Amino acid sequence: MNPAETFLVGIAPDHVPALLAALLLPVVVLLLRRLRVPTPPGAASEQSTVETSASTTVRLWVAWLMGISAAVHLALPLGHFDGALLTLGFVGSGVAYAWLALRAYEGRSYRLWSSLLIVATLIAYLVVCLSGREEPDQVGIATALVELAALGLCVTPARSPDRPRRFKRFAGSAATVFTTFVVGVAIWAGSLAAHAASDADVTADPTEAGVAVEHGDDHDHAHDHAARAQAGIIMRPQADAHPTADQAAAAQALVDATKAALARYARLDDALAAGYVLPARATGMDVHVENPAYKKDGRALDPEHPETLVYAIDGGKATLLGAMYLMETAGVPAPQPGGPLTRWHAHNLCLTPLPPGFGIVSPFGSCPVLSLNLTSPEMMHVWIVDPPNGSFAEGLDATWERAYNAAHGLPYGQR
Amino acid sequence: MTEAIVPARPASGSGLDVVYVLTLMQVAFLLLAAVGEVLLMGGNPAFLLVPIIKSALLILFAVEALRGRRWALRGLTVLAWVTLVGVALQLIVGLFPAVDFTLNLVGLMTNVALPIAVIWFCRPHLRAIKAARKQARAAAVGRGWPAQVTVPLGPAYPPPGVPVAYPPVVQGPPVVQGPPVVQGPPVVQGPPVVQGPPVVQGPPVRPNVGAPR
Repeated sequence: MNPAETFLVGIAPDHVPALLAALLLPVVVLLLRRLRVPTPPGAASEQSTVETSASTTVRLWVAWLMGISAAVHLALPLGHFDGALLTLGFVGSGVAYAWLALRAYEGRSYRLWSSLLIVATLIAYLVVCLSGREEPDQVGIATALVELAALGLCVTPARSPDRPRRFKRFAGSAATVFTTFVVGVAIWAGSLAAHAASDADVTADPTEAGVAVEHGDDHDHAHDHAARAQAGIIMRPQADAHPTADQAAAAQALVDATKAALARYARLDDALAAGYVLPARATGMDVHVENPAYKKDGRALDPEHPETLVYAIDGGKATLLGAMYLMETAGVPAPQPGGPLTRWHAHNLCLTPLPPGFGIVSPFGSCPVLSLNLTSPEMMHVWIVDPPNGSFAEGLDATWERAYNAAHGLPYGQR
Repeated sequence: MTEAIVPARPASGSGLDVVYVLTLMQVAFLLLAAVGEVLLMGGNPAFLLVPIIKSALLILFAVEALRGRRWALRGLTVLAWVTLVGVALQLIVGLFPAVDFTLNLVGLMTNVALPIAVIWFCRPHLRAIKAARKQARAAAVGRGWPAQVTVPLGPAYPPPGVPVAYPPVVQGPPVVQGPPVVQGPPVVQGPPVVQGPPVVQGPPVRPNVGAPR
């Protein structure tokens, strides 16, 4: 995927109207201001005008942030096509946001009601995400960010030399950091859950080919764009979660070819002798053993030259679980012979120098200090041990792996 | 004699209050990313060290910036620039074939828009402080003081472009009371008065004894 495609992948199609509404908000505000009856000159003294403009930067920011949230909520039903109740909820919250934005703009009290509304909205959003009814996407997370900023401005009183309000400021500051952190964790969890659920959405039943995964008025199984949050994982969208008969056959052929080709690496020692290299942490349930030569051989999805082998290594035993095919160039789409069954993914990584290590990008697009945010080439696992969640699952259950390794593992390190 | 330009503090509810909240959010982003890395690196707490230091710095800068400290405003501005330069650097690194750089809507907000907002709000205050120092130095030189005049830090505002409800209170050196009173030339004393000859007293007047009555 090129950068533009990656950017767009993160935006759920049913949230596009909401994003457009937010982008159009400044135009609407400009038009409304032009239509308003101008205040007669001299209605307010010069001094009061200056005072108002000096103390309203925070209020204007709150007004704009609440206005953006209002525009998003009011436009959500245009893309969602939800039930009447949810539509009413969106419109109601949109109207409430607009009302509070206007209050903030006009200098009337807004903090308490705005805080309550934002907290309620965020809780509702997180519940929906964590329950799997909606996958966090870029518009959803951006709206949550806007609301978090407005919440921070509402709960943290502005510093005033006359009224220090130290406790209130401390409590507001702590609440802002804490709420932002918790919302980030919850979105991360929701994103990872959606990513895992994308495996379950794919069925190998050819009779269902052509049936899109988007289901009418709820968001169950709506993981065709899994990992829209791009919180460490990027997946290309799938228009159809159900493979055709040909695609199912091609996927099975790939599994069979991989099984046959990997037979010679059943022993870890044989793989190491063939040029595969153990990573620094050489034990665990998903030890990825890379072959540097195969990573640069120009071949893609070649069972005879898999770029990476995956072993479970524990207790003196090693079990070859499968291969991980890796594209040579980042951003280049990988072949999908099995259609939605053979689904590739890429990782958003943060490479940190102090100390050397790596993490994954948070849902807020942040990385640790001084780190480099990079996206890997696409990769795909093919498991040859017939795991319960399928040969193309993104990952395996560690408990199952441990038991399998205990039963089938081969000793290693004998050469 | 010292020059003191004492705060008029930044107006309550000004852009620096927005910067403060945005910085708090940055701290949360940072901690979130750090915890993610710690979990991925097997729970090694060493990966928390640098993020915690940066978080502490961010909070310190944000708090002190509200008090108009120039170093704090500069610190926030520098960190915001580092973030922007980092994004540009990653875009360049992403041109290499083996890796890519993904910039999404949220990344644009947190890594581009947010630092720009911080720089935007800090800039007028930094310029105001600079202008105040320059003014103080000029005033000091004009009065024959040493060129290096200590200007106590504190918001010598209003920053240009940021309307403030009150003018800066300038506690200057003793208020100059108009031009000094010019002493005129010394009054020229005329020549000493020449004393005439002593008045000769005539003979005592005698009563006119022989005059007819």
